[in-house]
Amino acid sequence: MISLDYLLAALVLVAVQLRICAPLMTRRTRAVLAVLVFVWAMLPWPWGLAGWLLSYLAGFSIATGLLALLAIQHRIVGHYWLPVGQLRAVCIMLVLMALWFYPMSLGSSYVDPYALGFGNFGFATVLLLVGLFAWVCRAYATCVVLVLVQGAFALDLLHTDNLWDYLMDPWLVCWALGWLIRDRILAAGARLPEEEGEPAAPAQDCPLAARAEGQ
Amino acid sequence: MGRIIHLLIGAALVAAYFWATPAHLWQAPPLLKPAPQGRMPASDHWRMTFASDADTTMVHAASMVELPDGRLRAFWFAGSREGASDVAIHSALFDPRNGSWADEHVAVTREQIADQWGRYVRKLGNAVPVLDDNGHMRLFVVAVSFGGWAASRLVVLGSDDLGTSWQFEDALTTSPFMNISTLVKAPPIRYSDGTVGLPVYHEMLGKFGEILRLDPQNHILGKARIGHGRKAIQPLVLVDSPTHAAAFLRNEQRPNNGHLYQSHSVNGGWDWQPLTYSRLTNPSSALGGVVIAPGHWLLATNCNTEERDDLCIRETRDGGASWTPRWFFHNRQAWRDDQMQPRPFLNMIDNELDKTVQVDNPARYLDRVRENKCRRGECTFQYDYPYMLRASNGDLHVLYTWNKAAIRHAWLRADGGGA
Repeated sequence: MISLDYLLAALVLVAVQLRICAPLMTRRTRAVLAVLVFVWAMLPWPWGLAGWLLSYLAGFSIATGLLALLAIQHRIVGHYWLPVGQLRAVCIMLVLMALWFYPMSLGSSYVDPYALGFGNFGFATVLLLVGLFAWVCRAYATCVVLVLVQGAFALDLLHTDNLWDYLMDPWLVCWALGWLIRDRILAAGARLPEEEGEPAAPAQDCPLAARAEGQ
Repeated sequence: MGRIIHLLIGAALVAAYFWATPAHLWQAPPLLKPAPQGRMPASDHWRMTFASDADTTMVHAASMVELPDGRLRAFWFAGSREGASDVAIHSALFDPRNGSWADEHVAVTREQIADQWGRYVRKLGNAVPVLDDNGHMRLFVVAVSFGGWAASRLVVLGSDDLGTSWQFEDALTTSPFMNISTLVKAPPIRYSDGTVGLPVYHEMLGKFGEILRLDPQNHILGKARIGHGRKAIQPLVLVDSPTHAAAFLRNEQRPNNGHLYQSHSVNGGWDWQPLTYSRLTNPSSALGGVVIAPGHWLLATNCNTEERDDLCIRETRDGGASWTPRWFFHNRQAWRDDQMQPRPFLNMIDNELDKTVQVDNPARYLDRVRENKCRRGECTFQYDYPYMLRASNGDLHVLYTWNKAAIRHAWLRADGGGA
């Protein structure tokens, strides 16, 4: 059954393939291989990779799909579109939220945050407030992701009926955690020349816009 | 230009909020729909027969649904052993007019689900049917792509010919972590708006029960949790009134004190009280049950704290404050500590076969029991996984796993007549 879940899985596979191949191939070869992997992934089960991936990992969120798209664009075009400051803030938020969300949803208490995703005014309002905060901070990438996630949910584009599944998934959280660790390592490396006399980055008012430059 | 984009994005956020709010949130939550009140059958004469034909080595986890014409359709999983790749969902029809079961047949295979779903399916497990008001039948089946039962997912198959043929309809996403660890065992409950509540349970990191509220298109509209931690599975929900329901759950605590857990909801099943121990002893095995009238419930289960070597039906008339054993289908506790040799064991099984009507080939059933329950010269009894149904005419039906070799059917007629 070919669906948006299939497309997201195919995009994730292509993004991973490009990440692995990036240092080994020219941009043109990478792109050709990416197309081949995409086509292979999109073949119906049992021939396509996406069907097998989804058999084991279930589905990917819209946010993961958008991230995979950006990663593919970055590896093929060479330009990184997403502001790093926003990405950092979102990664921190994702990891912190996951620390609360997954244990509770998997039964550690009577409270079930996952149930809110099947329809809850409070949850929808919190998402709106997060979006408005990002909007005030002019963190438009976060706003666009939230709008697309909720739009996809309204159109019932994924197999799930839960808004959380459109918003995030465990693999996105793993990626965010990895990205933050890498970020800390790169920041620690950059601090050395700074201590040798280079100027520090200017402070920003809004957390989502902080350290938006660099990397 | 920048200002216009800024305003447009803000407007899009607000629009997305309203757009993504599910329609059912704007409606009042439905109430529970209790089954019509009935009376206890006048007779104590349960008629025993087999729903399965011993076509396969192993059978387990039967369920059933009443068809509009009063017949019953039963489902169970069957194969060479539990979890084997050849396990399929089998089905058979019972006609109360002549009191006989039609031949069992394979209803759904894992290959069929895999082909129609487009995902790898390694094995199948419990199946629970639902008959919608429009005559469409749905079968909720436990399907596993990798690992054991803890990695279970629920798939839905649909049938427009009352269960003769099936088509894959949907896979339910019920957990945020790889959508694994959701199983089904007990009968569904119904809401006033035509939606269905499917009691499910998780048994990976946590062991707890839940109720999924589903619309006829298999969309999950809500979820309510019964219990938490690693305590209890396989919730059986008994609906007493539009607002009150009781749930009984199999105790999975380690160490286990040998009592079923229970919980109550007084707001239509949306919130459940914390789990407490019931007065009902049980060796951590599955249970079935029906509501006769408000506070008058029957529960079919193993009635001791240790083994699945008995099977009884308990009755309460005061909403669970007190229980009495009403009928014992089996009671092999006296032989529990003995090392049962195959010969005396099979003699006793033969005796049970004698009390079962319409058995075509007793020797085959005997062979199946030996294959399943005798190991290295020692045999054990097993009567478990009861599924209970009160038919629209008041008859009581129980299906249960008989020594893993057959699905046995116990039938008590409401009019007191023998069958």
